[in-house]
Amino acid sequence: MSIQTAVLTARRSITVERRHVLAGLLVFLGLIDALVFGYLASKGDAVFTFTLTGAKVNVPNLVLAPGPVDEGLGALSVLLGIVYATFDLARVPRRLIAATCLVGFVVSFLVWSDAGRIPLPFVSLLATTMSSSIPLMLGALAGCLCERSGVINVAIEGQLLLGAFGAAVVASAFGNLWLGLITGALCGGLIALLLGAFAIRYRVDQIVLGIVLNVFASGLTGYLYDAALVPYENRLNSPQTFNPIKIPLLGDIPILGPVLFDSTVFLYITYIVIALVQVGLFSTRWGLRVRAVGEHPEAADTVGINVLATRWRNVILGGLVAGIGGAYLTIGSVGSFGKDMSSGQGFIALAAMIFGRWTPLGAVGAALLFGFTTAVANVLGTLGAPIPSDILLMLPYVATIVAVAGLVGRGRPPKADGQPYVKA
Amino acid sequence: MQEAAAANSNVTVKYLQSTTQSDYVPNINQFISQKCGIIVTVGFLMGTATQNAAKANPNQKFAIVDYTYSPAIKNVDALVFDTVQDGFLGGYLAAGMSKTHKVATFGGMKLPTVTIYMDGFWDGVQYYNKQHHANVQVLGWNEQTQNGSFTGDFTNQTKGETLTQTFISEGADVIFPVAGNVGLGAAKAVQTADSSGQNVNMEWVDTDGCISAPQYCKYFITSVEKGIQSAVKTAVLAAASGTFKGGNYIGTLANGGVTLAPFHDFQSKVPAALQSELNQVKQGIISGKIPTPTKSPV
Amino acid sequence: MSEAIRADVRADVSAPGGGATRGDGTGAGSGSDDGRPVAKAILDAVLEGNSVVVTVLAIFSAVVVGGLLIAFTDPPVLHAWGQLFSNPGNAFVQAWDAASGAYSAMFESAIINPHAVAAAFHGGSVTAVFNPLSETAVNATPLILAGLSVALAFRAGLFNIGAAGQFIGGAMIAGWIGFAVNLPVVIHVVVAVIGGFVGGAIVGWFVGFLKARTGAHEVIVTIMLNYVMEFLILYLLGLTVFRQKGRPDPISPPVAGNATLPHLFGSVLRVNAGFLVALAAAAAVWWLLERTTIGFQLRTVGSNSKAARSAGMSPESTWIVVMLIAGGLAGLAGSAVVQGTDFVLTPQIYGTYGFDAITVALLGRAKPGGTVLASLLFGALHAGGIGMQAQTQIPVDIVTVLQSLIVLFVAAPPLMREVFRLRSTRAAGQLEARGWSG
Repeated sequence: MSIQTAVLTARRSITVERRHVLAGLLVFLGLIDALVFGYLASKGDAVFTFTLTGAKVNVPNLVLAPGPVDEGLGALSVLLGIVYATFDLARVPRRLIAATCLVGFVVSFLVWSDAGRIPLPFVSLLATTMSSSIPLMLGALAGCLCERSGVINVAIEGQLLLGAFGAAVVASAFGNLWLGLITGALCGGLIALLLGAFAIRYRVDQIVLGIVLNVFASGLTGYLYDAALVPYENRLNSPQTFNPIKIPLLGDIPILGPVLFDSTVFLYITYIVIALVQVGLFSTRWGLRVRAVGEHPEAADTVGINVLATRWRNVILGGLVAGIGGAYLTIGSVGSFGKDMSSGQGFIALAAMIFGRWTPLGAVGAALLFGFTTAVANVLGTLGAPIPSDILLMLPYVATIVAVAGLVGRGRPPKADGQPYVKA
Repeated sequence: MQEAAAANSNVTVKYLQSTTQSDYVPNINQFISQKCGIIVTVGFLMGTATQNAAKANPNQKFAIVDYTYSPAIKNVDALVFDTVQDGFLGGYLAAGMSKTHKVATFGGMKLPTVTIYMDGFWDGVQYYNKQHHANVQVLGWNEQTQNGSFTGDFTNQTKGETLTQTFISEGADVIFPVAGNVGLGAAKAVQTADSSGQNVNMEWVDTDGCISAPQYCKYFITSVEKGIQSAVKTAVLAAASGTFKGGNYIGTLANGGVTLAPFHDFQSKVPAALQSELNQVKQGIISGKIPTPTKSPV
Repeated sequence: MSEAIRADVRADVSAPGGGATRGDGTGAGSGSDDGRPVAKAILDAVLEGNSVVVTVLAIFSAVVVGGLLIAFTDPPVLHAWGQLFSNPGNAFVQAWDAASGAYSAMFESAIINPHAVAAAFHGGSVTAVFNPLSETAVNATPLILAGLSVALAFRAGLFNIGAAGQFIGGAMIAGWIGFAVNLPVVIHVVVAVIGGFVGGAIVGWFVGFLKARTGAHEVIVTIMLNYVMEFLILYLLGLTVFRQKGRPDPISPPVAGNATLPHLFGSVLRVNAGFLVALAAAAAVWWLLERTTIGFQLRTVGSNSKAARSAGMSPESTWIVVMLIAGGLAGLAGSAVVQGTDFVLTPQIYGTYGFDAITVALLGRAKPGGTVLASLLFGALHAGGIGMQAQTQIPVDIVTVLQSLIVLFVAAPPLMREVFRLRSTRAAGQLEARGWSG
């Protein structure tokens, strides 16, 4: 029943008021494209490069003149906005129009920022998007796993942090990266164990529980860092790191190769986890049971599904996944552990999961969107774009608010999410 | 400070970490009530708290790093470092070592103690361009617009890595991160680029990188050092031996308070001509013939 | 729908004035109202573990676990463990010394220091005796205000992770009024405090507005706004308007003397009028929740927004009002810090108040009185942590571990009952679990 409701909700056309507001937003974006970016661009072309040094195939650079490009894109957006407002379109064309206008806005923004400066390395922009999104994607998937079974996981930040800590210490002490990776996953699982114990067994409010576990992980790793890692840095906090592995053939595809198939093992693990979670949740018996438990535990119980066991399993699985994301921060990236090095990425992952409406693909998409805006802000800073650096640093966060408020709107969590189950 | 303890066995070190700003005053008071010989505070955020404590306790000796008072306070040894000077040398060296004619710098947060390095680095590259009629570009900072690249904090090392990857893909081959531990992310990116056959190196900041991050020593052309340790050590030992005199101390190239670290692995790779030019530039800065402007003066 | 929420609705409907079904958290489960002798009631309370007992046991358990952590990581102790077989007694003595030394240092810096008392009797400073308590109150002040912000939103079914961003909003406006405007005594400080409320309220209102109009989830918006505000204050402090003359540091000029919250007991003790503001705010929130129509709407929306809608209430407008007030409370916390203890705006002014606020709100079971008590406890732990670090050199993060353990244990009375073999009973004031308000 509830799945039908969800489908109905998705098909329902939007209200006239909301349609006009959104159309207005699209026209507004178009006007900014044309009037702000088009006219104010400095002299000179914007150059996008698509080839990294050492690539086998050379893709020619894209040279764009800011005036015509931005004004053209702006006109297109305004036109599409008017179409959007006039006709009551179905969902797919609605989304296509919105996506076109947004992409147009991003392109004209990049063209304006890069005009007359050094070439913008587009492949590197996408590659850093992927690598910096790894902890966000894994964290968001961990959230999906937990919440689909009805347990809220706000402790992703803590799972990342303890995972990063455990991975660095073990990889350093035993000189074995894979052992570090496994330990990282287990450390995430450890926080999950606490989450499960308090949420499932003792029925503590899960949102606040998650926050407390984050504080606990921060305090514990911070304390151990000062007490053990600083004095024994060489032995306990100097791990090796995973090197990038280029996948043969695929890695040589122009543009896509370096972005998708030339990275550390963590990116490939992420692909596998995305596939497993998506297929597992929506195309297997296991997934059906998990979702039943998350939506309607009483009904699931009557047909013989063990609600508590299902929840336990998913919470632990989620912890392991987030722990791998944490391990990336140390042994997949920089090596040594630093205090509070997860820097709020667990919360971004949480937001990405809600943003993606509790679906694995949606969550991954939202994580990538965040990673992309971060990478854009990075690149713009390096090019010397005429935007103050502190404002640039806000960009990913503002973009997320705009996307959530303007495009996504109200998501629907699993019905029993956060409700402890008490057998009647 | 630990060095001071090693040099004088009568010195014992106690250390307090503040979790919020409101902790500064009680933290200082704790040490005052424990009758410490000298209390060393760090950073501009503690400037006012230290000043008030020093005025309320005129017999207690203090030292503060990265902050000065005008007029100077008698019982506070205010230690600042004119890192625009060695940043200048770092920039000149980077420009000389760059094959791609692009060098890059980035900061953790846009704070004056960070941007003063970046100003110096930028100045140094411009001076190199003028001397050699070259056109080496600085990515990530522009002294005139005071705008550039920052990671936004001093903890997110992954961000330092991605930022450095971006610089490298834009063609920069000498990277100068001014971001504390986030610089380790930069070093990792340099290492990755190196293992894929690109010739990229970097300069470390604050301390000698070959000592504080030895695993990356072979990528460090040099380190743009800020002699906090030795200045604090001097202050502590002076307090212990009764020769303490407060006032403002400015670390410069002339007094050795700021300096370029040894080249270590690069001793043979930095051309002799460039090394001697660096010496001349250094003398020029010391004598004042070469100006080192900055918008974040100490 | 879970049992807990159904119970909540029943309490609201059947006992509008007294709330006797669920009590106020401290009374529930004690069962002293049916004429049994007081002594037996107390004994039952202990054996069944009512919420006071659970809290005490939770603190005790956290202290034990924290002590073990200290005992197993402190370098001298580790050294002694290494010689466990050659000198077994020493290891335990060292471990005990490390843990008890840490805790007594905490107690002396947070509650009362026997040495200071002894000194006072011999002509020393009397104020020094009260300094630990003053520090506890100072640390508790922003926690109370920000904690109330989280608690109030929580009662309306909203999860406010954004206390940090709202804190910055409040601190910015309160600070700016403090250093840039000239006003007479009394008026200046009052205007600045109100400015703090307004600054936080604007940020909070924005969250409520977005949720009501577009359905944007408040968790996402508050997390993102925290970062936006952190960079906004950094940006503003880069502008000359917000800077001290002739200094390159991103620090604002100090707030004028007229705008500082006056000290309550002389200039030495830092406890200031901000503490009174916090207590008054707690009383106001209690009154709002328990005695007003808005409060009733708010609680109804919080326990069941569908039921509230069919009863003719508008959850949307409730969300906006609640977030506005909640933001204002967190803004007051910012004003208390900038006008009461720090006196300047800096990029780091928000500290860790945002998340600490959530933990104290949980510990206080989202009730005003409970939040005040929880903040005082956390304030004491924080003040004590400073002293402990100074005297024993044990990293101050141990306090964070202690705080989170206390909250975990308090939040799970069944666990405490299992550990201490107490009789099982009906839920003793456990915060009812709920989901995303979605």
